[in-house]
Amino acid sequence: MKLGNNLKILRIQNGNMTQEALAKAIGVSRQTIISLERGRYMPSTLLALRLARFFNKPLEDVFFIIDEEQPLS
Amino acid sequence: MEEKTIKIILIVVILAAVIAAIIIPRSGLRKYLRMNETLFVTTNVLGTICGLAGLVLSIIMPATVIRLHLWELIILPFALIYMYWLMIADAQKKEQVLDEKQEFNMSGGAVVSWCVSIVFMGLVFSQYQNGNLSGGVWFLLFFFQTLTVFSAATLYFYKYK
Repeated sequence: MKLGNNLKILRIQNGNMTQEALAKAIGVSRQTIISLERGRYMPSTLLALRLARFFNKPLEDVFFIIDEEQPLS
Repeated sequence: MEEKTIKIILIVVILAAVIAAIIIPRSGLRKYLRMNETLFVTTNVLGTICGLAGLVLSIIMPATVIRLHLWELIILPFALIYMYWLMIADAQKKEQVLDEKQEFNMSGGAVVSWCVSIVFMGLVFSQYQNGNLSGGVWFLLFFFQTLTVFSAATLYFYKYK
């Protein structure tokens, strides 16, 4: 199971915001935003909620599950 | 450089750093104390360089490194930059100066350095048993190897994970 996100789209929709500006607004490093956007880093619940709140979106609009595992029979 | 000169340099620098660490976070300069990405990367680059330098010197001339206190001189830049981290934490009145990914990557670096140090210390022990290594140098080898691997692994995880 992987965690996908719409961070890059939301950033662009939000006045073509740079990664640096988003990082500063959220209080993390730019490298954290880069890793999040590339799906290499899974954020904590707190950081995910902070990002959703910043974009004024429900959490599911910012983060979503990809490659859903098969349910156990 | 003589042993006495190195000792004086060490004492003066450490004393100045401690005084600065006490005074600066309580002065008007505190607003300039900020943790940022460059500082985090610089710290780990410095850790890798100091660690490697210490490791190489401890292998090729262990007696001189111990006698002249060179190992303390080698770790001094790294110690000073960590003292700067403490100043930032003190100025911002919070324990956490890193973001969650940086902390996560440092944990990864610590795990890698722990695993590598087990193998490395096994090698050191075997060399000691064969009489190729003096007993007094094990700590320096352990310390510099840990510093090198921890800093390099943290930097790698931070950039590529």
